[in-house]
Amino acid sequence: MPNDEYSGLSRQLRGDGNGAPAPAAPAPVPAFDPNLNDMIIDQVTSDSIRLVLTQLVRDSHASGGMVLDRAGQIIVWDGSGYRDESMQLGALIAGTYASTRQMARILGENNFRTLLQEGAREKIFTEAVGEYWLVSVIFDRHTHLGLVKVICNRATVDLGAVLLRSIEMNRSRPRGLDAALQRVTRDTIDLIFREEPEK
Amino acid sequence: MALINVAAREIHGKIVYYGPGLCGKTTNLQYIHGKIPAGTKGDLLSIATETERTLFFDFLPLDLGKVHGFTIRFHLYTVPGQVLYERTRIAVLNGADGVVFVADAQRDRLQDNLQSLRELAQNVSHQGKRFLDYPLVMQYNKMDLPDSLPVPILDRYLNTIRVPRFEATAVNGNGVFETLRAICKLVTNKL
Repeated sequence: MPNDEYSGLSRQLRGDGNGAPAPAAPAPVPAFDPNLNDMIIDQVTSDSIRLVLTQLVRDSHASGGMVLDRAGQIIVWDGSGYRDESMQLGALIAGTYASTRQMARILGENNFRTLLQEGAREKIFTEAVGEYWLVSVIFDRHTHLGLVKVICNRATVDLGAVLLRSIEMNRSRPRGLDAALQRVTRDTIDLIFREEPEK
Repeated sequence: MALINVAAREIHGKIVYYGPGLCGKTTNLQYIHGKIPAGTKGDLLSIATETERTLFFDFLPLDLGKVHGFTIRFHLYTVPGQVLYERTRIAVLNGADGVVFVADAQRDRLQDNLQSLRELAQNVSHQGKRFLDYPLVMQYNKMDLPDSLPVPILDRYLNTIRVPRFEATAVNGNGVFETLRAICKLVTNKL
């Protein structure tokens, strides 16, 4: 049976500082950080993002495009193709981006700003928007990759500005969901995730 | 953290199942996917090796439907448990709103559980979050096996921070939905 080593670890996880060293102190928490706080996208922000994204999709003759956060949650989707698979694509693109960022760090880079997946018919180009978001476009062989890179890069500037403005607005917003919404959500969770849901 | 899209009337939360290799993370998602009503779930996406071990992650989107006009979505992920995929676990953990730590209750896996839990605490801390305040639920899986440790022992070594914990046998569904319900509520409470 384990004893001292694990007891030390238990203390470390509790953070009471006896025996084993405590975990590294958390970084100072800024006033608003979308990695630490819920990000609220209001109608104005959504419309502004959609405007940029729609133009990007149109100019690159893309079948689909999305702006998403780095947790894989899609903020705005545009385009006619792959809409039903957008959620899975978002999760995979964010996962791939996060994975390549780890590769970058191994190489002493902060991150790789872009990703390209290239198939026989379709391609996906992804670029980082600021520190917290991504933009991806799905296009086919009729569109030149160089063109997509240029207009995507231009779009990231506009998208970054919109999303940073949104962060500023989030800073001053009161935190927390409406209590009634929280209560009904909890009731819904009970209803759906009861012991043996019916098929 | 969670994305509240007022324009689209959607709330998205990300929940990650974390734990050592072969503890039953994917089994949890497979059971949930098999039992959840069709309208509530998307496809279960698994990126696995040839031997069915998780290589990158499993992904299961759950749609709770409309609550007060908002569509509530939880995205469930697993991490690959094998030691060599540590960087991948960091990548998948990015932006998570809550974690289910799945511990393998078998006696000879205690050290693996502890190592994985310690890694989780470090990864959460490195993301600038306080581990003690983090929405976390613990699941003691494989409690049906003869060499599983009793709950008080598991509590003593794994749950020193006293988070909600559930006994489970994920392969036949025992404890799976209790765990899911608890983490979803914890995440909701933090919104």
